[in-house]
Amino acid sequence: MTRARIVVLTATESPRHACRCLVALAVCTLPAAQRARYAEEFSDELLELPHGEQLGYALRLLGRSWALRHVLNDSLRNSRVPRPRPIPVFATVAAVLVIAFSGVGVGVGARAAEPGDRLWSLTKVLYTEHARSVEAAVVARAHLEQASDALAQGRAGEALIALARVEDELQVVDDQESRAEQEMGAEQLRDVLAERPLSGVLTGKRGYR
Amino acid sequence: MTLPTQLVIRTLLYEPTREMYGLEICAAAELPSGTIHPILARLEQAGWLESRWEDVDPTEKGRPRRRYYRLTSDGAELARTALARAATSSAAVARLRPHLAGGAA
Repeated sequence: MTRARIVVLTATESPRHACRCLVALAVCTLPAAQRARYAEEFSDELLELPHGEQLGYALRLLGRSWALRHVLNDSLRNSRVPRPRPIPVFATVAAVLVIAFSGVGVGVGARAAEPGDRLWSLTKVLYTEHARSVEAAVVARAHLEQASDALAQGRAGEALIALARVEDELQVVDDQESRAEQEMGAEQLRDVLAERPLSGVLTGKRGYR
Repeated sequence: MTLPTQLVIRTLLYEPTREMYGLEICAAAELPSGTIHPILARLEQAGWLESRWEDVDPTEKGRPRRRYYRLTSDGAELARTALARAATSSAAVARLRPHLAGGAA
């Protein structure tokens, strides 16, 4: 008998028991090493809630369990070695010329510049790929903020569009830490969106949950 | 940074040295119970939060132990910075992607 079927059967016997089963299912989705911790934590929270709130808690917990699993498995995913990108010929030549005529400091400074800095235009010439990555990270973060604000104000369609733009921008972000952080942020928002009854909005071609 | 994450961080920053457990954080942040564990796990993984089990005997208490969370000293500092940055980052779109300025739609 499947776990889901067991839950359905027990729900008819005792709502409290059904809540415990849902919590157990949520724990089952987590990495084995973390199950004992969260089983105890979730059980405590379930018991501390009034009976009328327990089912909602257990369902939300189950709905979030894959996001939690994703976070707990993050360290494994982040250990992937990023593939080095080839350095464009034009940028290489430009870097050699600038370093030769202006000194190493300018070249290094341009590498560390950010959009809005005085050296940013030089960065775009010397480090084209890096500049594109930095710009995309900034824009992605801003779109994430837009999505968050739109969601807070109930504009789900706008939030989804902003999340799609986050996804597009992150395609060219090299900084693994920044990229992972924003991907996780976008996933959290998609989780919030998935919980809301939004007709025709959550089934876009990008497959948001 | 997403809105739920900001709400959790603001709640913890209200009294940075105070320990809070999951339901307490949900209530203070006005988020539905059962929704914040991925956020807490992410913050803990980043070193912004630390957690510990409540030091009680579950048999005496008649309930399982609570898991208490608190911002680390570095985490509190980083959280304040992140919240401030979140408040200003939306202006970046207008500068770098002018055709997208004025809303996500």
